[in-house]
Amino acid sequence: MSARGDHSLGKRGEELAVKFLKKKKYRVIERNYHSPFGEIDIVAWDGDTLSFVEVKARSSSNYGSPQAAVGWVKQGRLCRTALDYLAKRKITDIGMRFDVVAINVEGGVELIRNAFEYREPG
Amino acid sequence: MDRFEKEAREGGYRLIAGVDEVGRGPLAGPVIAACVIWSPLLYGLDIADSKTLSPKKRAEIVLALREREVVFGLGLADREEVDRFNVLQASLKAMAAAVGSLPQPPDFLLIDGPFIVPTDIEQKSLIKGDQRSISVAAASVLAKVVRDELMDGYHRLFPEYNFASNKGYPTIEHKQALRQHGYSPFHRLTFRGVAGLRPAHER
Repeated sequence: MSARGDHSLGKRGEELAVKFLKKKKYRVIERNYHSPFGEIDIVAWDGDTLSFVEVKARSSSNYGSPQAAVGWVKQGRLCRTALDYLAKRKITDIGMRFDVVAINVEGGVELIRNAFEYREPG
Repeated sequence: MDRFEKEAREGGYRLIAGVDEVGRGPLAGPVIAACVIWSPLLYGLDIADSKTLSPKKRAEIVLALREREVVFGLGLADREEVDRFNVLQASLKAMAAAVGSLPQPPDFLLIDGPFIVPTDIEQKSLIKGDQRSISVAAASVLAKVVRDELMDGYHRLFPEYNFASNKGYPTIEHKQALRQHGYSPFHRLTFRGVAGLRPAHER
């Protein structure tokens, strides 16, 4: 569903996601990082890997469960934003990954590790 | 039903997808678009133009597409976008969103109708594409089922318009309900038959 939608729902979703990640031993270091290319919801260390996390609200209907957790257009934006983040924060020589936290309407939370591979922003 | 797909394949394209939208005509609800990757998984399901299939058959096809893990993407333009731009622009936006929500970019698009989808991907629009291309037909079925499901949900919130039956299309009953109750948050305020009416009472 479009990310625009209900802003408060998005905020609540992010709160849930942060709690969930902390339980999974992620160390959250940044939230709502903006770049000219887009936004990353959460940046967190998972061990020595830096994880860029996209929070997705999912409805239980047909509409909410297409195959890709994150489509290729958004993947490209997240990759560019991740590079921007690493440059701005002067972080080098680390392993990084893109994870998705999917939250359904019933409040169920699912972590999709390595939801997509880094792609060279085209 | 796959002449154009095969032509594209012979032309060297590797990831070919069909695109269609549903919901340009209704007075209420969003435009929904779907984009389906052409593959052998689409065959043997009696996929055809969604308008020629019963709701039951459409639901069976969507279930089968899901079970076979056919790769598809969906896009939505809500009634606000339909009002703010116009229904054509909103449809193009929904189609581009459907393409963009795939796990990876296709390299060739077959598009129903006289549309040019705003993307850099090579494309060919097909008049009556939902009757001539299996991937466009599959997209038409998916978009239709998803949109109908959404309208059924809106029906539970605003039963007086009977969205469950008319799906937002301008039936006599629907237009009568609009005059009697005013418009709901799902109605397209710029459409004739809705414009100038009062909002339905808050509940």
